[in-house]
Amino acid sequence: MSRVVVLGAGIAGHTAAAFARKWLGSEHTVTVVSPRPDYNWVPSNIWVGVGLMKPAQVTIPLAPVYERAGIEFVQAAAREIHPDGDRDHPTPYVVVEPAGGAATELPYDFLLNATGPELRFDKTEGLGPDGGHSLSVCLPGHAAAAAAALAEEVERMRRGERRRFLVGVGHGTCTCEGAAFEYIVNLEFELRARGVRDRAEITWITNEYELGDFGMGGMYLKRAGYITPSSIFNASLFAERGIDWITRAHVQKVEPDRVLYETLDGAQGEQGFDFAMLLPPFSGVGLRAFDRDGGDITERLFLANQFMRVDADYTAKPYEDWKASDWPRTYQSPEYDNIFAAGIAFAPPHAISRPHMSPNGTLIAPAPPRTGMPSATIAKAVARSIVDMIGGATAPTHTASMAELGAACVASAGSNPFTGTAASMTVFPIVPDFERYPVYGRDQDRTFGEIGLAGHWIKILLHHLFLYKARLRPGWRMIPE
Amino acid sequence: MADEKTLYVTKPTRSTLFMRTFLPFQIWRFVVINLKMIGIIRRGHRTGGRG
Repeated sequence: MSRVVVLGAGIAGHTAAAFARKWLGSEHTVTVVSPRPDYNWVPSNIWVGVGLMKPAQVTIPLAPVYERAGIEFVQAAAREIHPDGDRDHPTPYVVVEPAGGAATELPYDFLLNATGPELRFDKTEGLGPDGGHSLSVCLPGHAAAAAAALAEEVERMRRGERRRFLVGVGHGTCTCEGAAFEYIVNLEFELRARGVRDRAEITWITNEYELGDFGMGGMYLKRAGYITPSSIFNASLFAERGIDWITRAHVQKVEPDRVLYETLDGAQGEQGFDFAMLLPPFSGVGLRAFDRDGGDITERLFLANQFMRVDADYTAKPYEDWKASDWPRTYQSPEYDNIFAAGIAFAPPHAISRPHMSPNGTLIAPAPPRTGMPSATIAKAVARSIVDMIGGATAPTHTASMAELGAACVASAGSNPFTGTAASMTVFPIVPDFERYPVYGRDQDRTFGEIGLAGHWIKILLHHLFLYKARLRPGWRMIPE
Repeated sequence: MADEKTLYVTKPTRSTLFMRTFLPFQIWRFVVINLKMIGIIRRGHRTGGRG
């Protein structure tokens, strides 16, 4: 009998647990540990944030799903990993802590860390909805608060006031620019739909070097006889929608009515706002690791940013020397064969976008995204490897390198079945491989993007399909990652 | 928005904007985009296979 423990019930953790349970015999156990009782289909949080959906429409309670599937569910936060056990017993275990309860030990034979990100609002003074001056859509509750604040702004504008909206990222090293992009264009669409667009001044603030970078070095798209960078399409959409933008910015401080920021050229700037939705930077969740004698071995398992080391090449090297082969393939810990990481929890070897530093030494560069489709694909590959290793394989049997995988992404630009639009994009591979695809790093025949109503229909379809899949309803395995 | 900035930006024509929500064309694009995405997914499943 083997015990598989999955830390986290986001897209990666939930996917891995579901497949592991499906593939393993009933003599083995699969346990999911998550501090929250619900699964959240995060991509739809932006619709909660503009008031088009309620949190209940983007979440599902995990306990009944796992009970039906035969997966044990422990609602608790993972705190410590003891990969060699301790002096009393050699069995590896994790220490988990339920809210308001005592910490308990959970033994495992295979461990998957899919804990996702810690939202580091604390990295920028005044950032965030809890004690800060900005809003967020990272969690359903955050998004609902943003929707309530937006409704108040709309009422003010209906009374004739002009209001300033600021949307983007709240730190120079943020990732998930794509989610903030979706929010700003949905916000603009909603203000038009509610008849107050003419009283709103909307500004995008980002750490991207160019618009449309999205933390993946942007894309080059074949259109109308040209190969065109995504920055052109992004700027075009903003110009069409009357959205101003500030690029190459590191937000230093969020005050009640303005942000102070530094740009790559070292200049200081400020931007006033009445409503600000700024995403935070991420780190790992701060798991600690200990050896048999209680010695702290966290640094052997995790990088300083608290993301887990896996089979990547973490050697520090200049951008020119970055290679596709630096990226992990099996997501196995180099220290322990029975520990893996997937989704945001694994440490990328470096950024995807070219890093830049201001004359003041401030790093202003998007961190690499590893959410959504790649996150689920990686989780499924890891689950397969774990199942095969339980069956006798001596090494991981499946791979899912982001430098070998493509991704499909649909970014909503306004929600309406007849007038809505979304940008539909595919990239191959996610991490550019300049050895295989010189100049652009990607296969130009498989990298594409267009905006239109069809994209919105696909976005709606994906929302329902993936929530159906997350409920593990009949045929869920037929729905791709 | 600063006029200076928008002067140097590519903007869609009226026909481009029209086609973005023109139902017959978008039904066609729905099919095409889905096929493109399925292609990416299938390729991902192939390359992300056995190590």
